[in-house]
Amino acid sequence: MAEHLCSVRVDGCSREVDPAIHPTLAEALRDACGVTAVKIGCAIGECGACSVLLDGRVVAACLVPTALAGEREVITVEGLEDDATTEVLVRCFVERGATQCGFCAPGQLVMARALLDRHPRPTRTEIVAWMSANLCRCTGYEAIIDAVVAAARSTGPDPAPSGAVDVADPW
Amino acid sequence: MRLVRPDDDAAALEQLSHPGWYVVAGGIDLVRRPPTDLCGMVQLTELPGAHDIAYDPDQGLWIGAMVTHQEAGTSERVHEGVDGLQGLFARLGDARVRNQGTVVGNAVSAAPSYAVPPALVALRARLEIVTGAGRRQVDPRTWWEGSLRAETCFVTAVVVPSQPSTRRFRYHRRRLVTRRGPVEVGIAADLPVGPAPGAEPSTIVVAGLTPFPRRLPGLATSPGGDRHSEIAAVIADAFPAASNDPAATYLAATLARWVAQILDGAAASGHEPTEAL
Repeated sequence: MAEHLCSVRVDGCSREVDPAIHPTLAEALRDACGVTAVKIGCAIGECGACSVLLDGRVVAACLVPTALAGEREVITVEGLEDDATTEVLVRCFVERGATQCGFCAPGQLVMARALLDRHPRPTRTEIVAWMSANLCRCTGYEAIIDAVVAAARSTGPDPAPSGAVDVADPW
Repeated sequence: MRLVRPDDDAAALEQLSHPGWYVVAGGIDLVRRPPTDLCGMVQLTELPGAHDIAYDPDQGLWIGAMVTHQEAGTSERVHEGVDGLQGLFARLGDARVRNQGTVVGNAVSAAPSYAVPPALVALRARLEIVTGAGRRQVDPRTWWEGSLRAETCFVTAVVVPSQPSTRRFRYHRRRLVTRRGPVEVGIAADLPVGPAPGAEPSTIVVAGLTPFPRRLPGLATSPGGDRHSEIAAVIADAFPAASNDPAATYLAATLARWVAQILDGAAASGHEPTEAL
């Protein structure tokens, strides 16, 4: 392998990318790895369309230097675990009309999945706060919030008794 | 573009002495404002203590260069060291920024909209830097103002002095829309808890209106009286504006009201006002 290339595990597959050609992870994922489900909206970390999981934590791929992703695990919306949570999340998005043009949907799904993985039974207020990091120009947001609420109710455990949630670390 | 991860200070310094090499922590600034001569990055992840958060009542709170906002925002040691500081990290930006951005990266940038710099000033924190002479602690303002740039150096930690139980830190973020556009203001406050006679006065630091955070002098030193007039006078002195500039006048008046609310809220109940960040 050439010295300037770095190896990134993308959705379970090892890929070689050149940080000089694709300086950000979002560009590398789309243009070098062909994962076009990762969208580039604002390219300054504001819109959330490029949200991916880096070593299990959600990040804006447009703000991650490709070189820093070397030897790390990247999960895009295409690589989300094929389990009941993902299935319910996608179904709720479809049933509630939470996706229209579809541009923001990959980022919304990655964010929602990251939330449910860390906090299986979030309140609606917590969902609004979490998902507010992702912009959508079609749905008006209510449908997206409704979809995540519905998914959380379908997949999460019974609600914790009042006061039992560690509010210092809701995420 | 190359990336190196030196495992000691000397190796990092040697690499940074070459033109076009820059330190990278979270990497956000490097992507948003890449230097034109960028050819390589030095990541500090392998340096001793880079991922550590340590607290000692005598030494204070020590946050290493690679500690993310997420890690600091959920750290019991941060909570133990400075009441209220954990909340700043836990609510900074959004989850993506907290997962990737580092406390030290935010601290060294001194971008007016960033949250950590005013907190450092309010808490009298220091930056631990590495130069050819070894590690030492400096006032963050010397870093922001550029007086250290003549020599090759980098920042390895933020060091916050222990906070006595009679003090409380709070960070408030406010947004104001004027005819010139939106203004984001960060207000860091180091406040006495309750009416303690002889306590040090409140420290209020305002960021967002000047290139570097500005500390308001002499606030709340005289209990009673017309506090709002006192605050307005201090703000007018700290942020002078032409009297015929309505936007600046409006901003100064609003800032005075925010500061009064912060001081009064702390004095009344000791609870963080609900509109805080």
